[in-house]
Amino acid sequence: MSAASEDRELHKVLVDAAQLRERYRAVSRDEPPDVLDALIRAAARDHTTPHAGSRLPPSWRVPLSIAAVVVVSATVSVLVAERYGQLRPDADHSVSLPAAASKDEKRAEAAAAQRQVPSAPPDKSEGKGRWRMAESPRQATPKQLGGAPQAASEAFSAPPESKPSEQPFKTQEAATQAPSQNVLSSAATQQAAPPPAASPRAEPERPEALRDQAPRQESTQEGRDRGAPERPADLLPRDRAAQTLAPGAGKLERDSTVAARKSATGPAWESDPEAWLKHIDELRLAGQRADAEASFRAFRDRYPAYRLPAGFVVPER
Amino acid sequence: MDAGSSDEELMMRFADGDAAAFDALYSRHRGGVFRYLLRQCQNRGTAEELFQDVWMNLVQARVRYRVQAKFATYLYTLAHNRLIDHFRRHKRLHIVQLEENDADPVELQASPALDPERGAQAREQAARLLQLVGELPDAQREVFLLHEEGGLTLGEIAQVIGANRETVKSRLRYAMDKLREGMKDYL
Repeated sequence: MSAASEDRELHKVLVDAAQLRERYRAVSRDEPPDVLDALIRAAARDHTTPHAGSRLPPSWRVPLSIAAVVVVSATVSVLVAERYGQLRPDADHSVSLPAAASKDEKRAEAAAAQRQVPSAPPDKSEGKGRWRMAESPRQATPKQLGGAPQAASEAFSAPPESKPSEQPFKTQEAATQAPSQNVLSSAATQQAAPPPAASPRAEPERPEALRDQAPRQESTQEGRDRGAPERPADLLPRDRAAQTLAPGAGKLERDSTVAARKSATGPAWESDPEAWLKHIDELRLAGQRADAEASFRAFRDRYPAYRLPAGFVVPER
Repeated sequence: MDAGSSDEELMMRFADGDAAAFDALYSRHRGGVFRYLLRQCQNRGTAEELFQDVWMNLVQARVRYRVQAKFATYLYTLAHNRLIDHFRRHKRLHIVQLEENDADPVELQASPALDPERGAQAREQAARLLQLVGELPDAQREVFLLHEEGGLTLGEIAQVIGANRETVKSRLRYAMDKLREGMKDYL
């Protein structure tokens, strides 16, 4: 059978089935649900509508992404740095300062009662340094600072040249130095407890505020000439010793001592205890007893635990 | 404007981003494709799922569309392939392997007793016809549906199912004979 005859046969079949086909078209009216229609039309529309992100030229996408990452990273870094710088000092203050202050108060009272030393004129430079150390009222009390009451009161009062209006500025300045001060405070908390047998390693960590008291206790109780072992920190001048006491306090101490030296540069022999004592002895022998005594008090302020030579005569009025 | 455009033109416009062209195209073919799938899988839920897949495939493949044949051929090829995938997943691989079944005409069962009421008779005729279509061998039914629902010619059907034209003609003839035989009491 040829293809043409087959097509004719098929055509005849289809014609014969025309009524059947028409019946089928009338019956077969199933339609997809409207929901499906809407879904498919929406999908087609979504594919043909450009997205907001794709409106950018492709060449801009990578640079913009990098720029966005850089901006976000920088912002986060700045925020973290600011937050860290603000929160950490406050947290340390709240924890360590009250305890340090209370213990130091007791210890300062005991030291003051034992010493019974008349108030010495405070070293001007030291006074400034102390004032800077004690700028924050929470950080130290006059008793904590130890030494002569006059020096302590000076430590909590503004320097003579300062005005009350400067106080907020100095408080703010103290706040910026809070981290390093806290090191001292926390060290003071540790050292406030009665020290064990003199440990050369523990002693250098003693804060300046305590060095005013405890070494004097030793010197008065054990006797200055009895040959008590000298401690490295006590042998150093106050500003240098403070730097070795606590690394965090170094900057603060440097600031105060540098400022003090700028305002009042002491004689060269003040940096050498032996030379200082020799100078005091010369004053005493020259009859300048008042100067000798004042200089000796200043010496003790600077080198509270320095063991005096055997032949040294303490100047007295 | 869309009413006078050919399917191929609408599809090319849709490929260029004209969503309205897709709407026109969809309106023309949605019924035929759905019924083709429904009659083949004989399950409405499955038919809806396959129907959505077919049109989504068309949407995603629009940029690759080239006018190499009639659009309806392309569309029903997508539907046929999706149906084959569905049958393969459900262990019905015989849809493309029914060459030998073409020579085995299905013996039509005797028509059920007619309802004396005419309205009910019409509904019964419709149900009977659809039942007969569903009882056709898969290959014959597919050719019948592509011819009746898709309006495809023998050559286009052959292109869709991957068979030669003579095979398609034979299947279609057998399908018509069976349906006519089964509906002879109603015609």
